[in-house]
Amino acid sequence: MSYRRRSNAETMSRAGRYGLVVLLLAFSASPILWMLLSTVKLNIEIFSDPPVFIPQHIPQAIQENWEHALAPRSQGGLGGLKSIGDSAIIAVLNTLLVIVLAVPAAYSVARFKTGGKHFIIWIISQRILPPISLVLPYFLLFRELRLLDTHLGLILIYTTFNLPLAVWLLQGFFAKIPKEVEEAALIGGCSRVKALLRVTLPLALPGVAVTMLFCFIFAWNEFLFAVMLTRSRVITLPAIIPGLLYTGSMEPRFGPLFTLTAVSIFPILLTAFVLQKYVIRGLTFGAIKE
Amino acid sequence: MRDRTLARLLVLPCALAILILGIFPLIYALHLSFHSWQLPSLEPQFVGLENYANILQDKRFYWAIVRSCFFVVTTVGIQFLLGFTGAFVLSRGVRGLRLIGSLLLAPVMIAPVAVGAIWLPLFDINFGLLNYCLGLIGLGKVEWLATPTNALPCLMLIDIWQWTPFMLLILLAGFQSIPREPLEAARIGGASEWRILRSISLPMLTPVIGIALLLRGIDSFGKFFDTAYLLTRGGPGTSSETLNLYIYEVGFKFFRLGYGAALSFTMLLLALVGIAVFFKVFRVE
Repeated sequence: MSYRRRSNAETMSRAGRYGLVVLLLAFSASPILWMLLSTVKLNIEIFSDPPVFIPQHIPQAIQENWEHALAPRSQGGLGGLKSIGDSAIIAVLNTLLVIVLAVPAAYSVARFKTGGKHFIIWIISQRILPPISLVLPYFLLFRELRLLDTHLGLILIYTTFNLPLAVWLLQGFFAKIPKEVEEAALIGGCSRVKALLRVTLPLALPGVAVTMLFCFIFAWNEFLFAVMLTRSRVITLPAIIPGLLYTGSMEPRFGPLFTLTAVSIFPILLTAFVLQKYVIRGLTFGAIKE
Repeated sequence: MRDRTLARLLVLPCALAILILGIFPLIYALHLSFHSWQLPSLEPQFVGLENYANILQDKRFYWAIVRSCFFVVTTVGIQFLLGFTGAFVLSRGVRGLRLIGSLLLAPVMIAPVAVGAIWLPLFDINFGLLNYCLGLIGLGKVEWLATPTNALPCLMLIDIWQWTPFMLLILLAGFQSIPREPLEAARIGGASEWRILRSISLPMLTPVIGIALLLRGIDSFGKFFDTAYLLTRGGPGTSSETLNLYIYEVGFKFFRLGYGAALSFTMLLLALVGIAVFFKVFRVE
């Protein structure tokens, strides 16, 4: 009797558990699925009451949305192709710059405890700083230096925000590599720098990859500086969006916009899935190491 | 000895970059905050502490603080409750945890401004999915973003949607790091699940909870901008104007650069006070 009751309770709790998981995933996924559905709808189907759940003109809608999304602004499109290029240039160069600066610094912090406690305080303070407080000074400085509306301007700003994160994450990964491995190389006649490049860095490669992913995501997704400090020559993907929604009398065209959104999140999600094991660590600023 | 030189040499480029790119603009902003500079005029004028004195009498600023604090406490609170429940349930063992985790990562990885765009059509009064669903259960249409009472809660809903999975995944990692032995011992000893959660899991999770709340709190206070800029611009009126939005208005719409700089320094100060209080409460190192 008591055995049967317990197993009943267990099935119940199991059903409840999976029910909750389904609810959670539905809550989390439905806005994204609805967005994806919009990419295969015509604009009349998007602005329709009742909403269209099964689009009727899929091939035509896909063609129109893609064409409009990628066509240059001079032809009335969203300029998506150019913006993908701008975003890619900025995010890739920023990531490389950050890694080149952060790897030696992180190594030094992990191996020699350079900076000690001050270093940690600096890291935390960088995170607290509200980005809006840097927008005005950057705007004025960039006006003087003619860096407004350039790739280089955004690359430099994103370096400010990515460097602390990168150094912090990397030093965590470096600290985990046993000293002995490196010392063996030193005894074998390698110089420190050579040992770092040939032995330590290859061992820390997953860590470097995750760090690069997070730098890339930040630069790829950043909106505030992109919208304030660039205008016409450079328009990153996030900075397209407000211009599209405030077109005056015209209804905004969500189909092309969401096509572009889908394109822009796809590479990030793919990489995140591959590196899933380490992603929590990046998200929590290295505080949680699984 | 040579190692020490090398150690410093390796840090040097990074430190220089931070000094030039991070610290210098900040000092420039501080300098600016002691000046009056309305953009069409070319020369900033030194006014000492006048900007800061004006802030103390700025009602719009106080309301922005109230909204920001309300926003942070409510959204982070709800994210925590939902995330904690979800993490607890998932930690009891479900199939396909890896896949679920991947799916939950999606909202976290999407650019916040794109998230705003995703939600905009859902909120549409006539064609939006939300009003359609309300209609299905017999409720009337809601003007989601267009009324002063609803605008801020709508922005909060979006924030909760985007960051609950973040909270959940951190807490799940915390639950998974709890050693099994004490839990099983308590179970064999006949303790109820509730008692186990309260007396064993919760104390062990305290540092993780602290980190999760701190990170979310900092970001929600200092970085909440994109969706609000896209969907409401602080409106209707100033009903959804948080600190970030107000500073944006002052600096980039009215071009009162000195006052904007003073406001952003006050905001930084408030963030520091908030964090100090948090550390006092949580006693985390």
